[in-house]
Amino acid sequence: MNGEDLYNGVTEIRDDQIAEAQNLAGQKTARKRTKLPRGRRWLAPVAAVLAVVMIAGSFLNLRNGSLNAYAVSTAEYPKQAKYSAINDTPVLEARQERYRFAEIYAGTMENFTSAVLPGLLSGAGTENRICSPVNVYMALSMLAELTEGESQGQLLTLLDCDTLETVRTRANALWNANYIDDGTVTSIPANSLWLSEDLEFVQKTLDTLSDTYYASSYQGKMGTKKFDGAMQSWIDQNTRGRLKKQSSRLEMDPETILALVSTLYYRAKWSHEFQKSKTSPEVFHAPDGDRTVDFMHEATDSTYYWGETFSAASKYLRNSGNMWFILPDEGVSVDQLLTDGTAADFLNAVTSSSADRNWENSKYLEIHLSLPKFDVSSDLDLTESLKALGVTDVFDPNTADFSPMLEESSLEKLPLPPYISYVKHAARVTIDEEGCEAASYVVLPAAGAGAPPDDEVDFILNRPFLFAVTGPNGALLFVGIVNQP
Amino acid sequence: MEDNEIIRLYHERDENAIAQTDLAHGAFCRRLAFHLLSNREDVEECVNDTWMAAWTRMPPDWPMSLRAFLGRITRNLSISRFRKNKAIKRHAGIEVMLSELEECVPDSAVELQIEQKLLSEIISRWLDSLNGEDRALFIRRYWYADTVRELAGECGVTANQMAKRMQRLRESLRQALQKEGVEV
Repeated sequence: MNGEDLYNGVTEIRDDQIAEAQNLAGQKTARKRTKLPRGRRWLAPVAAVLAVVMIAGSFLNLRNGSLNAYAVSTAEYPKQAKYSAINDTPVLEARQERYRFAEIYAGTMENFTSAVLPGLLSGAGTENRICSPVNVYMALSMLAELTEGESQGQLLTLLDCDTLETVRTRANALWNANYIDDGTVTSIPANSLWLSEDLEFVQKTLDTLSDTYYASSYQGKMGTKKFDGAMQSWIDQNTRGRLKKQSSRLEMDPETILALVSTLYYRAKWSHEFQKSKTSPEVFHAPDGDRTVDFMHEATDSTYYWGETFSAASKYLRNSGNMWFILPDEGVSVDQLLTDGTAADFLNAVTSSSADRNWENSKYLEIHLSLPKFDVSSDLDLTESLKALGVTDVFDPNTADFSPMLEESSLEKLPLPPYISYVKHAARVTIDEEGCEAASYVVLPAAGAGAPPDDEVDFILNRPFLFAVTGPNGALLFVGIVNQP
Repeated sequence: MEDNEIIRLYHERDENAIAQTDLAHGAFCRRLAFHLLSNREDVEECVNDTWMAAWTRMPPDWPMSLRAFLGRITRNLSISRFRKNKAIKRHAGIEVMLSELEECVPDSAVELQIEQKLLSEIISRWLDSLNGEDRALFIRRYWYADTVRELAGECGVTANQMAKRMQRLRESLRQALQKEGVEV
């Protein structure tokens, strides 16, 4: 060891020590360093689960076998270094690796997002509704692997891919760019297949799902509490128990031959936390009447966006992406922003990882943000939405083509060809904040019609609004409507 | 512009990021580099290299403290430049600092290879054990590379008194390193 080692050692001391030392005069009376509080408030334990269940009509030859689920193909997740310092090499390398993966699908998700957002989110009425575009993309990609012919063609069209090879490349990149488990951010996409033990599945297909989509396959006796329990435990484990209510309702019929489950769990800290002392109860104008909820407040210099019918702002997530808030103008509904494509256009513009990311109407100014605390969840059946998006063949036993999935001998055993009986999508997003104080109410200024705001703006989310959570490389992890915070 | 907005520009590959960084942190990085390299030409090159390194590292990096992030890059580039310049025997502030830091190395640890991360953690822990003023003085001298004279002026003491105080701090660090088993 020499002086240069010590020089390098001093270079890497903690950020807070470096910041504190700038104010030498302020340290004269300080006898002992006060530790910076570690952030305890987390944005959003956020989770989504998407289950695609395929059911053939009742079939015979059920074998008396074991009730236990056993793995027939297990995915191995890449190992990730735990974050310990800002310049920690393994953590940096993992981030650079994720960035390289994100470049693979950069600029290719826009059409998919524009297609699915209106279909999956609009028509919520007075309820909250959430979906995870990343989650849906992964599940539909896996479904494309299991199909052939027109069934696969319809899925490729929706996924905006010409070939199955393109689907594999993008889905694999999407998974790798959004898999983070370094101790500061948790973002875990997880996939699995649950297979009837009475049938023989094509091992090569299961291996592709494991290698490309990190999907593990489990076989067991369908329609039994134990097998349902194994699947529910898998979902609970991969969503950290955030969707227990929804997962407990998932039960497979004895006729089910395969269930495909895709989950996404995400958790990150706000880059700048809300001050608890500034939280206060205020009125939220829900579609079914006013209600009082806790609003968090902050004033921050940030970029404010606006369009003809909405205004928007975002809040940074530490070591991750952003949470976006899109507020329709007075008299404009959330559904209108979804169905006329405004919401998708805006999100595509501001989250694109391509260099031309831009939204014309934006201004850097002081934003006084008032955001209701919320814990919103929804449990959707996407069958009709997917049919409306052109994915029809897989739902009809007369047209569904699942030949890459089952060995011929098993296909012959079934009285009806396999088809999808339903597609479930559950998601939940929570903003975690505690405490409340005095109430106040501020009127929203008119922000639309292309008029640029002054140097300050009040951005008050006190009526139904849209939100989106993006990953570190811009992928749309969650998009939702808050009607009832 | 707020640091997070500047970082956002890097992530958007907006070249305005560098101009905004120079505006917000240019003076800080130039001062740091000047204290280490003592040569205006070297300083400009070092600061330009710092901007280029920041451009390469963001994305994927999203530093929690942009100033600390840039300062670390400047320090690392400065020591590389110092090594190069040493061959042509150009005097630099960094040389004085390194010789002072040599005093902190326990005798028995001269031959020891120590992992930098571990060493940084030990130093951070030792800094935590100091009172606020001593901690700030050590960091200002050995991270920000402020001169003894500047620190003395700021604290209203003579340069000689400040040098003695620094000597005591170095001795304290030497003992801490020894206690932490760095001499093994």
